[in-house]
Amino acid sequence: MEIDKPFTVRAFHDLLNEEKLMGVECRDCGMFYLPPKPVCSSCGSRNLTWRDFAEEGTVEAFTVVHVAPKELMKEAPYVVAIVRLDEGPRISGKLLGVDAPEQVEVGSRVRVEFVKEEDGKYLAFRLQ
Amino acid sequence: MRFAREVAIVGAGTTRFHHKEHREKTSRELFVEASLEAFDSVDKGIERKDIEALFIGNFSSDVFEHQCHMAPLMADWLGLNPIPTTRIENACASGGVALQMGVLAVASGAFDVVMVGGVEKMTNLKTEEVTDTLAMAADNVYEAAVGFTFPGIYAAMATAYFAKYGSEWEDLTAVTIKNHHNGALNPKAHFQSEVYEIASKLGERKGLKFRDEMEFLKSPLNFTVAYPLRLFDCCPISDGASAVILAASEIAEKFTDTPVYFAGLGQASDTMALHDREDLTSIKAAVEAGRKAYDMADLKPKDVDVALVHDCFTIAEIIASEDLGFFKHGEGAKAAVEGRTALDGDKPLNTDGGLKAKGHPVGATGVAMAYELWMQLRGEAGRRQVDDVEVGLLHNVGASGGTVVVQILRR
Repeated sequence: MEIDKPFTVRAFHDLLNEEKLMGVECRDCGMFYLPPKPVCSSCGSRNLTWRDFAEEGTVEAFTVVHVAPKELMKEAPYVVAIVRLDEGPRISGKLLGVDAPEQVEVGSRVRVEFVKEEDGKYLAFRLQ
Repeated sequence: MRFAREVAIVGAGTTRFHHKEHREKTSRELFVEASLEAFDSVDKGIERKDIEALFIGNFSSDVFEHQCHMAPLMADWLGLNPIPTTRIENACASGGVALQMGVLAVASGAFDVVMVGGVEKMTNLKTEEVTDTLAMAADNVYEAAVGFTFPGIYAAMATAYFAKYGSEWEDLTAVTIKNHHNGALNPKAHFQSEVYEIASKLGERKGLKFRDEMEFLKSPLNFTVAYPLRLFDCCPISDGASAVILAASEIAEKFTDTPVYFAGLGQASDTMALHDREDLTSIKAAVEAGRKAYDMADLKPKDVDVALVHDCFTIAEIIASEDLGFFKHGEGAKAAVEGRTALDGDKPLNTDGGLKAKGHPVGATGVAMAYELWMQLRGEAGRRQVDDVEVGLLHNVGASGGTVVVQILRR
């Protein structure tokens, strides 16, 4: 996919603001990286291209955070999950609409949701 | 790795690790206290001028004390200027990596005698600020920013481990109880009470009586930090410092007739974020670092008599015991429950109380592990002494496994 942005953290967040979940694919060995990286960790190639990812996946790990850092104390308890997207990469994000361990399990199916905050949109998940 | 010459520990010292005892001290005083004990521990004596270089493990005096450039500060306060001094930061493996660098410095022939210290002063900040600072060891952009805390990351490993192997939170309590038992035998430990003693004391204060440890550990007093990890699954916030003196083995007898030798060294890295790892239930960098250390020492997991592993959280000790080959993957929890890792078990782990009971002043921990192995291998561990210790292993992990150091020491 031709997007005129360097493979940076900033670009990843700019694309999230447009509700696009994008990472990179290595043209030489086929590995995916989400979020994007500038160099393929597998083969060392710099021949990478932007790729968007389907927004569904499975919970592979989760936790319910009770003791939160300063800026998130008001939201506690909240759930953070590690999700394996259907096309392969895993990514971490808050699991919305859930605040107790009985409501989620390893294996739960989730959809990506883009959450609007003051300084932009964030990646989160919601149970399907 | 093959060295031109071997390296040995000829002296070691540590402060107590605690959250209140060092209220009036800063990191510079803590480091000096540990170092002076290390000097005094050298059987045939050592002079300050014998130390040719200093390596300091420290995670974040930058934030905890608003103090960077720790290396010359520690050297200055111990009167070691103008020797070369270096501060190493690899999160919770800062001490272990400082040890690696110290060993390599002596093995290379560049120096004959060096000191390695680790120090952290964590208690100037409130808990939520410490939580925030510790989260800097994780991926700030892709883990901390989405709400993961340190305990949260290990808690995620726990949910994945439970789902894969069928273990439960109750299995983790075996590690808590064992490490508090060992800590009760260690005058340098943060917590020197068995879990049942803590249960009675806290219970008395609240007008509650607990039938046993498990009832206490299941009570609201043992609150959830990040499900499924509760307060007693987590190591405390502690201040402290540890120091060791390393010498080339060919001159070690100048300092002691019973040095402790580095037989194997391993260090490895892995992806920063837990979600990028191959397996959420195993720390690959630990497997890799362990393999390198075992290969270099020409030893196997079964040869290890005592191991100090990185139990920042109870689940971490269980995963470590598998990564280091002491038990098969998926069987670490069962081994802990069966008492195999207790002081009198067939594979004693964390004889000093581990990070859980002994404490975890972040940068000091790796060096404190070397201190305990020095004590065990020389038969000086008092009431927590394991019989017939010939081979010890330390396993020091940075964050969720981005860095791991494994070192094997022998008599």
